[in-house]
Amino acid sequence: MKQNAIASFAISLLFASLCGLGIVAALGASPTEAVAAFGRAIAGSSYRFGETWIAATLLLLCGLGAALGFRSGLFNIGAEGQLLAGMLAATALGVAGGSFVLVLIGGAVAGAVFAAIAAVLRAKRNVPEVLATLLLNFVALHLVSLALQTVLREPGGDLPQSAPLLAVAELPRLFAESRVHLGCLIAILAAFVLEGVLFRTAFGLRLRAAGESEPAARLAGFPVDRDRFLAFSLAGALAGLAGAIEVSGVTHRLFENPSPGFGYIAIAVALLGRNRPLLIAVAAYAFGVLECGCLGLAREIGLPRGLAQVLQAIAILGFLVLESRAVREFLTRRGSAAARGEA
Amino acid sequence: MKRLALHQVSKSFGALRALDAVDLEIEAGRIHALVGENGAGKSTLVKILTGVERPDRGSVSFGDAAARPLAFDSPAAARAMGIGVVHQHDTLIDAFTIEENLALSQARSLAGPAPSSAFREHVRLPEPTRLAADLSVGERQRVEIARALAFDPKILILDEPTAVLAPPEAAALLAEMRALAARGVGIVFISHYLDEVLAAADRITVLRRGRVVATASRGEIDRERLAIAMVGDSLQSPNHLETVRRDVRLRVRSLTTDERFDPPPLRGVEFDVCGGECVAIAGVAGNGQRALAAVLSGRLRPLAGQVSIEGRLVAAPGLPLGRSREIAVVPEDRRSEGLALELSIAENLLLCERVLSATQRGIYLSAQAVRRLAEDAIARFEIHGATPSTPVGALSGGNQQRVILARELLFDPPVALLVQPTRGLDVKATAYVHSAVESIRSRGGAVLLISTDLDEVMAMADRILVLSRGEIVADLPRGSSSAEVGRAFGGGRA
Repeated sequence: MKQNAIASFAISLLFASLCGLGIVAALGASPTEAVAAFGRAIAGSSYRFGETWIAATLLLLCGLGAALGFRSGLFNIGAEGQLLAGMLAATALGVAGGSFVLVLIGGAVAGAVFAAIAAVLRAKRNVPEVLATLLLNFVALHLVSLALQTVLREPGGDLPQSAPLLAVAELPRLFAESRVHLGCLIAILAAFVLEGVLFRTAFGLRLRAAGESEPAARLAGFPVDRDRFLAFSLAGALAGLAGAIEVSGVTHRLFENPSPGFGYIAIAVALLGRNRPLLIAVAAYAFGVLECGCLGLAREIGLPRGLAQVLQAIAILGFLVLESRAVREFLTRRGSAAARGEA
Repeated sequence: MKRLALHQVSKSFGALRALDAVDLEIEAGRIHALVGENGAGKSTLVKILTGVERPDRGSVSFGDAAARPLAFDSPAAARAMGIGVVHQHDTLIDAFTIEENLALSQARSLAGPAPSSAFREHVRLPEPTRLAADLSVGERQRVEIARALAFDPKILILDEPTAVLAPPEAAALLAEMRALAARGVGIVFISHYLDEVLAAADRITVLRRGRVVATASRGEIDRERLAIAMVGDSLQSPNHLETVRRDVRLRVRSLTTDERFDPPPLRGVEFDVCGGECVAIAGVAGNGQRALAAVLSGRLRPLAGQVSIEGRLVAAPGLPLGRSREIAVVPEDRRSEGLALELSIAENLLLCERVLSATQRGIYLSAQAVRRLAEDAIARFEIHGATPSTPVGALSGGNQQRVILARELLFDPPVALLVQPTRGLDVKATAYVHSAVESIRSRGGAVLLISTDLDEVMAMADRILVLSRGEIVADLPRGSSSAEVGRAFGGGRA
């Protein structure tokens, strides 16, 4: 079953790549040139190679958060808002002179608090968490704008952006010739830790039980509501951490509209990774590669920058089609029919 | 003047033979009652009459038309032929008014005959602008009946219409049925209440295990013979261990629940179960069994009364919800409440606070302890062909039940609650569940068995309490005849 998921994953990525080539050809560019440009953009230099890891880091952390929600039976689509909350808190702390450790912790706490709002609304007033997290995303987006126009605005600056973070707030880089920073390592570590939490601890089992069958978890006497609240807050912390890492590791200051929807793409990453933390890491890396490669195409042969998102969407749709029960059953039937035909 | 006739109709679902060569004639202007235990085949019969299911064999003929090889192709076709049905659970849309609900059913079947303008005379409908959500159960039912009558049906099927009604409403409904029959409508009346059936029906057909076991006209059969026909002659289990009664383990006192949970509510239910004893709650489904099971397993807070296990209070109005560690629960719905189907056998064995905490090492689960637990359970409970990592969803129903039993009996709990523990299981798996009950008793545990299967109840129980409309109406000792139990089943409203 797991092998099937990985095969579907590979096939859908391959399909998306072929579609990408088709689009390139349709736009009148040379496919071979495009492949070469894509290759240079993702592995042409240590710097470029590092960029794929940086892109994947953000998606991985947010994807882990989304998966944690799904595993517990809740639909957390608020990674975007939690990410922004993390960025905001990280910027405030970083500009004020906090060290990068404080900045990361602050970002995680802000993300957790932001997610907890939705969790409390769900637990106490039965507000659907889908709605609450979605609406809070807009709140976060405008809070960022508001802050950048007022308290966080760079003193003396003309643009709605923050002052740069102080040097102590910047994440240490791991290599001299690329921008790969400590955050990449933290994200990979988080994937392993979460894999352990979900599959090796009692908390993880209770959470998965609640997600698979809430009545069974309740009958078992598990504290379903408390566990879900924890899971939701933890998911928010992961997204908030992603935001803090982006600010203190990459951008070093906060701009308006700092995320082109990373929090939403992360839901797709979790889906592709089948809510398994280690598979999510692979999916996040694949998306990071796609992101950087398509940026290269835009840079070198002038293709539209949105190509990455188009291909990501094609990959996701392809995966869903392959993983949908009807298609799977059709394929197995065909497979067994073919086997009978040969016999 | 014959209206609707079934001839040698059979229907199977997999290995289960739901209907076996059933003959039935429904005549115009008469009330024909269908009675039988759960699983006797009543619902399947209704589905065939209303075009939801097609018979495997046999024919259905209607009016003067020649016998058709198959029944109606679809519910719409059945409706167009003049067959109306009022289901046990109404299908009204809460957010719509009565008028809108009526219009909805007309919009849905434009192919049918034109709605009768006079249908409202038949039924005393409430204000047509009221919302369905604001109506009482009885009023909702009248809307359903009006809906069915809108098409001038020649045959009207009422599936357990009185089960949800209070006695005066039920009496009014019976009078309405009479009036409809007088207008020439043939009525199929399904009910568990034998008194109602004897009072209202012109003809009675008894189904048992998919076969017609008795057919009688008014006055030809009495209550006792009807009950015996329904439940059959039960055999006592030969291996029922001698009962060694110990102290009271489970004590239930004046338990009353909210009717919003699952009507009817419990009203002042009281009983004790001693160690070494198996007490059965018998009765027709929908008489409060769900509420009782929910209170005992910590999912529903009672409005009044209390439940204690070995003297310790586990459920009462002020107490928080949550299951006591001292009670094993084999729930009615094993696929959603009992198990998480996507998870493995090993993981499902941990779906019990008590087992889970025993396999914890700090915050971690001891992989070794979990594995040992699962291998042990698979061997001891004979879950053939499975490994600890097999997903529970891949197991047969019988093996799924074994996983639940393995988990729940692991800690020798003082009290075990089993709800419909053998429903849908084959003979062998059923025997296995019964032997598990015997082993709990032999170790001094108290067993409360909630079951609508009378054979099972009579075989397993030391004492049979009959639940009817949320009250215990009979307390019968082991060895009571099936007729005595059957009489208590149909009772509750004399």
